Amino acid sequence: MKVSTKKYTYKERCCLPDFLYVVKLLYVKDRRNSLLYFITNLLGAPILFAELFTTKYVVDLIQNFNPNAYQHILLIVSLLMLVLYLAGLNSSLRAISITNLTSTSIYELEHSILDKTSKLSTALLEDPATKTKREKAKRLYLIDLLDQWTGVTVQLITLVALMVVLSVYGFYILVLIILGVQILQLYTMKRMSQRIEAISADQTSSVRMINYLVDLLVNRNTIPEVRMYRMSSYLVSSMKESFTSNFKQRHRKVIYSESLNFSHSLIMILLNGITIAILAITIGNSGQSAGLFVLLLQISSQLFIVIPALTRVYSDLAKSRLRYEDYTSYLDLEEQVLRDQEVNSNRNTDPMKVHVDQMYFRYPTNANNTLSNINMTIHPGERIAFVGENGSGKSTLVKLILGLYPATAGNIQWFKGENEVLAHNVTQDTRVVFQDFIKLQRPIRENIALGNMATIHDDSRLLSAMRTAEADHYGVALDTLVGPQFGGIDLSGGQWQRLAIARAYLNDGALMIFDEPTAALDPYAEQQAFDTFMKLGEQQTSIIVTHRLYMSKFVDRIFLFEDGEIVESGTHEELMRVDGKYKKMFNRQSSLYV
Amino acid sequence: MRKEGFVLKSDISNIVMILVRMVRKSPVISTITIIVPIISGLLTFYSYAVQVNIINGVARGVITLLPILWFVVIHGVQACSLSITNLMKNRMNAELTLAFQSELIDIANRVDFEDFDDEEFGNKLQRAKKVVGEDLEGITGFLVSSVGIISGLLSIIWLSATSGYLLVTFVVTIMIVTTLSIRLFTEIKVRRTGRELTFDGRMGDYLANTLEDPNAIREMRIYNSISYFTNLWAMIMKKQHNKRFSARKFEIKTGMVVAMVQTSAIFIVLVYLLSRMGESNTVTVGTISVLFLALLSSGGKIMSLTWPLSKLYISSSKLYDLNEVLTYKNRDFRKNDINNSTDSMLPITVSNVYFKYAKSNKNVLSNINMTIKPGEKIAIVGENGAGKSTLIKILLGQYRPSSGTICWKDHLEPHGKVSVVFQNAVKFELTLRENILLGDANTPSDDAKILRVLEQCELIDLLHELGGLDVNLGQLVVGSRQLSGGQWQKLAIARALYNDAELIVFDEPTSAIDPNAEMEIYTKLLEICQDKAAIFISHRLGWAKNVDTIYVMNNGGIAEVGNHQDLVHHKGIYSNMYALQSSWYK
Repeated sequence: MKVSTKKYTYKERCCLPDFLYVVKLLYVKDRRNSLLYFITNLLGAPILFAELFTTKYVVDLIQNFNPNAYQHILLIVSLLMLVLYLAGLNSSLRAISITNLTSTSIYELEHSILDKTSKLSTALLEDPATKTKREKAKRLYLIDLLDQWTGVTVQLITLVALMVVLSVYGFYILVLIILGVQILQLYTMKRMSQRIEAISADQTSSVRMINYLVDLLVNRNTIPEVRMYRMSSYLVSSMKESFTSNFKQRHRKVIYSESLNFSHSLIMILLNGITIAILAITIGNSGQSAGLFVLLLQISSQLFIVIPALTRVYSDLAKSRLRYEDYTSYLDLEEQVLRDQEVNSNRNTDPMKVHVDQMYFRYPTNANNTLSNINMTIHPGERIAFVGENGSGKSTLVKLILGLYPATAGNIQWFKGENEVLAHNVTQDTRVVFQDFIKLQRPIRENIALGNMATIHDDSRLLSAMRTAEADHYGVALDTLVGPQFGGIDLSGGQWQRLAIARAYLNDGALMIFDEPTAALDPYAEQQAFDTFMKLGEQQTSIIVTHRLYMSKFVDRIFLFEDGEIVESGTHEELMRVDGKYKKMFNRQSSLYV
Repeated sequence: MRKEGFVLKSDISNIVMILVRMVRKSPVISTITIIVPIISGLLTFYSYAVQVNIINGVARGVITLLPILWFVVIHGVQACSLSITNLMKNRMNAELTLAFQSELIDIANRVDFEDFDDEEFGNKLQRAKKVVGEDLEGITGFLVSSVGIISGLLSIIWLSATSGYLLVTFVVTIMIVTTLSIRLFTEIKVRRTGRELTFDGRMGDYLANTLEDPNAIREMRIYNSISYFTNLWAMIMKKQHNKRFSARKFEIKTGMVVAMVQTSAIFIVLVYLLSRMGESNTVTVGTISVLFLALLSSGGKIMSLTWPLSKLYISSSKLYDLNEVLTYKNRDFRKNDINNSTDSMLPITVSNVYFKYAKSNKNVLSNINMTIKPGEKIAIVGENGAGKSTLIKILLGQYRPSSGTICWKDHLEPHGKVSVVFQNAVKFELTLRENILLGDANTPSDDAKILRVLEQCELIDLLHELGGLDVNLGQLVVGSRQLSGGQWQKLAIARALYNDAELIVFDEPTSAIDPNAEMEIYTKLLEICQDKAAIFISHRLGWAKNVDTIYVMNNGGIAEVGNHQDLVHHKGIYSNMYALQSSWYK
């Protein structure tokens, strides 16, 4: 697919109506197919009428068959064949242009959404409402939008032409009858089908329950427990009960809608019959040609097709336009401030100093403050531990220290040596190992180079980082795929963590953060993670977030969090002397071994 | 491992096998659902015949309303049969889905555990389940529409036969068959490059999903690697599109060929009939016109036939997994009466047991000797991969030893009541009551017992917070309440207690619980178990001081046995592990 690389950013066309937006986009990205699309669409109606009239001519010739005029007939028939072939060719070319434009438009849509998502502010990213908006935006099919606009126009023109032709031959009353009945039908159908929809409003939740129960009974993660406790018969009968009642509801809906469809079809068939009768009698009696009959018969059949098609396309268009609104509103979401471009030559990697002054923070979606009255100064090169129970605010403070969120009240400042670092630049020299670090189902190389994309082809650096993180015990090549999803090697939790740690060894940093690196790991992997923290902390400011207090014995300062506030701070010795909450927690944890 | 996407095991036999199973499961409805569209399609012939009469009538200036009446009746019958088919189809789908799901569930419930732990079987079962849930409905739909359209095409051939000339019939048949084959072949070729089937397509979708995950974006932003992966995605998608595009280019060429074939065939038929018009009375204006119009419409019919047929063809590869799994039905499965009988099962004696998986040569367990006496508290410790979980499976009768014996109170067949609190215990997104009673689901629900058990596990507060036993938990149903990791784990313990078993196994029971509460939980567990036998599996040795016997596992064997004092004095593996773990807190 030769995709044009011409730039055409969203901002340039933000205020265009949807039709023009799509047309311009596709024209810029794929000119040939866009032109082909429009030409074939334009030719559609004329070719149809050429087909109809040539057929009429041929049928007349057959009716008034004269063996002498054989050559004449052959000529006309060949002409008809030519028209038919052109019609076939035209629709093939149209189909081809559509499939090509579809590929282009899907790619462009997905790319624009992906790009936008990667630029959203942290607050928006973590808000579940954003995900819903994104899912809605993805439902747009740009090519459908274009095709529906074109469809509506073309169908409308065809409809008018058909009506004109029929009227020219004197059947304008027939036209009005057909039009009237159709419109009435469509209106009543719409009303009735809305009522039918209301019947089965609650189907989705019962379907989800049924699928959930079936999954429990078949999934290898749940089966050991299900079988051991012999839960199967209970769950199965639950499932069957739900299924049967769901089916009854659904079947009722199907019966109603089928009855509706049937009565609708019956009326159309009667109307069709009456049309044929009228045409047959009028034309037959007036001694006019069979060709005319065939022509008008075909035209009136087309009317039966075009009018419902037009309504369908119109309502689809309305839906697509709404989806377009969802799409543009997603693209209008707030972006975060971009990091300043990195200037490699004079990289200042002095350890970071962080100063937090009377800071309060509340998540946009919460009512209460997650953090209150935080005051701390982290000196360059210090090793810090944030401890406290789950939900005490430690991880949130880390995000704020990374500059990912702005404080709700109060101040955070960062300094490298004498220079102040702005919030959006903090992550430039920061290395983080998150609790839920990325496990990329891609080559090992990419998993590690994630830490510093410039080293993606620098094998020696990648390997040395792996060695330092002790991630190379299984001795596989850098280009091996890891992760089960694409048939790569399966790694244990500890092995994945060592890869994530290897990322941290790829570049120098001013600030290093380890967020709960020990959850759900065996004690030996835990200790390894802690060793890494200590090793890396030799050159930079480092913070570890943990609830295993044996780690906090070795850091320079500990901050104990409770309900979003710092309740105690100091070294391990100081806090043990204070005889407060920290000491109690430490004793509880060590009581296992005393 | 499957390399290039999914190898399409596109045997038509897959479809046929499923069809046979479908018909066997609901014979009456299947027959109606298939027969009705066939008849309806063949009725089209009569509709053509009637149209011939009408046109001839007009041509001669003699109009009778009878043919028009017939026209209306035939179309009415066709509309009616369409509705009937849809009704039957809906019913058929429901019956078949339920029947197939029940079979899969039954197989999952009875298959030997070793087969289940084989990842390939587990994946196959998942795919089979997916097919039944998602694709079965489509398959019946495609089948029905294909059958209907094919009989419609047969009507056209029949119509051409009424012209009385073999050549005409022959040409028409050839035209329909060739057009259909070419289009079908092209369509399948294109479908094979579908996104869900190719490696590139799936990788692209995976990357797109990763790039939408807030956690991934956060980490990538910090390391400034987003643009690399976005470009990677773009490159993979373009490759995918190009593959599809070259399949589509093929479609272009064949499209032109098809158009040629169709128009030539129509041309031949028309000219031939015209030349024979004088000498035959079966060839009238009506015949030629209707045949001509019918042949024109055949193109559209064929187009609408290739879609369901090609989808059926592609679906047949998905059906491969379903067929394979369903053949398991005929195997013999091992008998296991654990939790199916209330006989006593203790003491359990394990003698010289070895275990290896059928497909491998390496022993996972070697020379295991062990006794579990009534009321004994046991700890099994060791590193990851030492064989702890496999040993439990042997004790529960889930795996059969490759050699050696194991007796449950002198019986060689596993029986008796056991409860297990798994490490990743299932969080049943059902009601609170169900989460507990599923521990012993085959006896009637005993509310008093449920409350007792909740109290023992310190979950009464939760009950009051929720407001009742019949509140939904999790996030499946609207209005469900989400629980914390610790609460779910306590629920799993409550469930185990509800079963009133002689033996309870705890597999890493504090992994989700705040380390500050670990000691308390272990104390509580020992208390709860009272007179039952209990096995604790863990990495952390802190509380092992309080059990009766500790088994230290290493490389599939039992390296040390004894209580805490003995093992510390022994100065072996246990002693080292304990020293290391306790040193952290000194």
